[in-house]
Amino acid sequence: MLTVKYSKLEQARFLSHLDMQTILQRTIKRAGFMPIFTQGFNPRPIFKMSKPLPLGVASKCEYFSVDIPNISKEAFIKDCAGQTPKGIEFLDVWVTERDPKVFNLGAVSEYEILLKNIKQDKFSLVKKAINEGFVVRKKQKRQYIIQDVSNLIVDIGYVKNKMIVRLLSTESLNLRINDFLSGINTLLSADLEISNVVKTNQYIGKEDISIDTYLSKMELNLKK
Amino acid sequence: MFGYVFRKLIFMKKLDSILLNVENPGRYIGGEFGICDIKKKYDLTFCIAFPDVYEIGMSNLGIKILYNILNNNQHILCERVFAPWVDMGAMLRENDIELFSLETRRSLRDFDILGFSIQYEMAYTNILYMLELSNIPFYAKERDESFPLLVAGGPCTANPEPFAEFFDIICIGDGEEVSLKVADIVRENKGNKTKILEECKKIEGIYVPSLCVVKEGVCQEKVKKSVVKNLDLAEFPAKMIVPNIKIVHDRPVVELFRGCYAGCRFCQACFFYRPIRNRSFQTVLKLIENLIKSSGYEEIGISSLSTGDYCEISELLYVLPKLAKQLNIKVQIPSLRLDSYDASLFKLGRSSSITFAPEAGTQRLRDVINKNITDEDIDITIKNAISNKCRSFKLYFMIGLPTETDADLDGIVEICERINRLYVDLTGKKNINITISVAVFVPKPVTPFQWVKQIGLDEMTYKQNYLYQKFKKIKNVSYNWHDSKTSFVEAVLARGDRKLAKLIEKAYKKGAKFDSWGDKFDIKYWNDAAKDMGIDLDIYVAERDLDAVLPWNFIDFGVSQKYLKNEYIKALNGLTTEGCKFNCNHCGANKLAKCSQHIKCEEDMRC
Repeated sequence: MLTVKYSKLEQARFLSHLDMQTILQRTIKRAGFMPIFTQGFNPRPIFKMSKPLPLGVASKCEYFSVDIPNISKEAFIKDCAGQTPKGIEFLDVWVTERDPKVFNLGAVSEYEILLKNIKQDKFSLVKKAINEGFVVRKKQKRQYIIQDVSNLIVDIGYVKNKMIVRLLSTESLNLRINDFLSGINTLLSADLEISNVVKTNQYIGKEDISIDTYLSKMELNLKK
Repeated sequence: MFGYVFRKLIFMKKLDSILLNVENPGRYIGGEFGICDIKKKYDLTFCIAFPDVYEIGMSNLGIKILYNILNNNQHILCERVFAPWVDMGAMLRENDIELFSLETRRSLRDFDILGFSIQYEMAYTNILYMLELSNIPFYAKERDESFPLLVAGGPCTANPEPFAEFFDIICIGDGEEVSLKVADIVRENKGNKTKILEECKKIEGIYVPSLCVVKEGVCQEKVKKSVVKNLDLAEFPAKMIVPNIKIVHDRPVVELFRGCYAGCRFCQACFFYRPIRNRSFQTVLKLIENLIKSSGYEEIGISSLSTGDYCEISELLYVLPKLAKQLNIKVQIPSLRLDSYDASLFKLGRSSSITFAPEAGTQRLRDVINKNITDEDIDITIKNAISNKCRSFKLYFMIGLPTETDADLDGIVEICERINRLYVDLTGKKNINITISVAVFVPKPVTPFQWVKQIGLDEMTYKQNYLYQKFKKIKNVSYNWHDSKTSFVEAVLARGDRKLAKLIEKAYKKGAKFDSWGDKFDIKYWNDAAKDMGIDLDIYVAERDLDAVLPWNFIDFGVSQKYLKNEYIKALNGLTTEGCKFNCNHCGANKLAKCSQHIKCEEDMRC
């Protein structure tokens, strides 16, 4: 099984998850690779993606897995170069024996938020709010609710005019970056937008083990 | 330089925040795989404008061909723009952003040439919508050299008079060669619009409305339609832009041949695109392979007005299934006639649904419109489809055809009932789906029916309701019908004259746009505009005298007026004309270029 890490930057962040699926499948086909197809009346490539990204959020760490037999990493990277639309780039590739189930892997997502006109001293307000209770207005089952989401924020930091935040993103416990951002805007009377956000990493849990590290270990096991 | 970069940054920031607040922002971002090289050196900028949304425009083959041809020219940078949806249009106005091209985000005002591809009459108001968003004056006479040269092309140039006053130049016929000639003239004479128009007028296929003497509303010049003489040698894209979002026809398309042998009397495309020119089977195959390999698409379409009549269809049907299996693709074959349908075509599509267009319910009326399809043809094809596991049938019909009676409407219902019975008899099951789609006949220029009246709104409603009452009693049938008011406005615009430019402008200013969209069209805008102008729209849909000078008569389409008149008279007498696949019917198109004809075998109609 081949797992690919790709970035979705610039204007490509306005492409939906479903559109991304088609784009990626066509990219692989253009590069000359033939994935294994499902059997049945309407065969489709065996292809899996990580969790959907909210529309408008850029990312440097999205993943997909595809079953391509007898594939070499080097050939894949070389032949796919130049086959992607603008804003999408294949960054890394792993070959594993088993399906790593990328959809379930990203339990924690890390984001970089560009803080225009917000100085570091204001940032301490954010940390205080998270410790004491960070309330956001979020959509749940077609209605809006007010909820304290401080337990869904794994970590928060400030580096050179940027806020770095890690949010839980499992199926049961999940804080969307849009909701977090709206909470920050309310707290600081700011106007931060989704265009200020880039997803920079994904982790398999609250520990510091990134998906990249996990996939590398899986690949190493295969080689053994 | 710094100022430009700063302005660009501000623009991108504004655009980013807008895109989050509009439907389907993927329409406006460009950056698709296969776009032109924006870093290339160029002397001329050309923007192809399609007056509808991205998903519809990017499904059009014509603009893909032109985009490729123009960008292959070392002097030209060709980009694209599509009509922004209403929410985006409002956002652009609110934020004071001019409409921009997809590739470089250049304002449309800054292009040397802005070329509109006009595919249907209901898009006319969208032309003005796009011009207004670009701060470009509507009328050619109001624009000087500081504005782009406005060019129109596409099948609506069969009668360009309703929109003639908006454009500097109109390309009538095939655009492959003419567009390059126009581009060369503009490049050599930049800044001198008068010289540009005078030089362009000399090109075959070019109509310059401002240089045309108009007498009693009719242009007195003669313009000959432009024709690509050898389609096989004509440039066709080896690779196409692959859209980033889902579009209506999401597959590359290869054109088999241009024009149609059938000669159906209501069909403008049949006569407008004559003479009939084929692309060879070898070229078609090569194009299919190249397009699939360069695009990564999972399916391909082969296109023409009547695919089953392609002269090398047997060869194609032999090779295509193997190629499809090898490349792991589906092949879509639209535009199949009931009388030229081959059973092996079913195997290509791997689909359980099929679409046909009998157009009329009885043999008598099919003879009037020269459809040349018998009840036996319908039965044989349906039986073949059923035995190849098809269980979903879509059939297109028209109401309001000349000489139509209620008996012809009953004929539509009877065809439907017959299909139902055939299905049950052959399969023993009742799980068939039949969709009947009924349009209102719109008399179009350059057809034998260009003199015919369109039925009134009341009669349209009566016929639509008549069929509704009949169909609701039949199980497994869905009945759809086109809005009668839209069809009325379409008929007005199709056979209109120069006075209609003002009507289009007034209707647009009252709120008309996206008129081809059911939920956006409102006839009130058109009626109010007509009232303001003091004109009666009914005169445009009325019957025309056979000797009357029609607004488009100044254009030589190849097909002669004499031929069209003869066909009309034959129609009224219920007489048919055999298609010209094997024998020329002397319509006149041959004088523009040689028509491709089939060679008749002794035993079979197809070799």
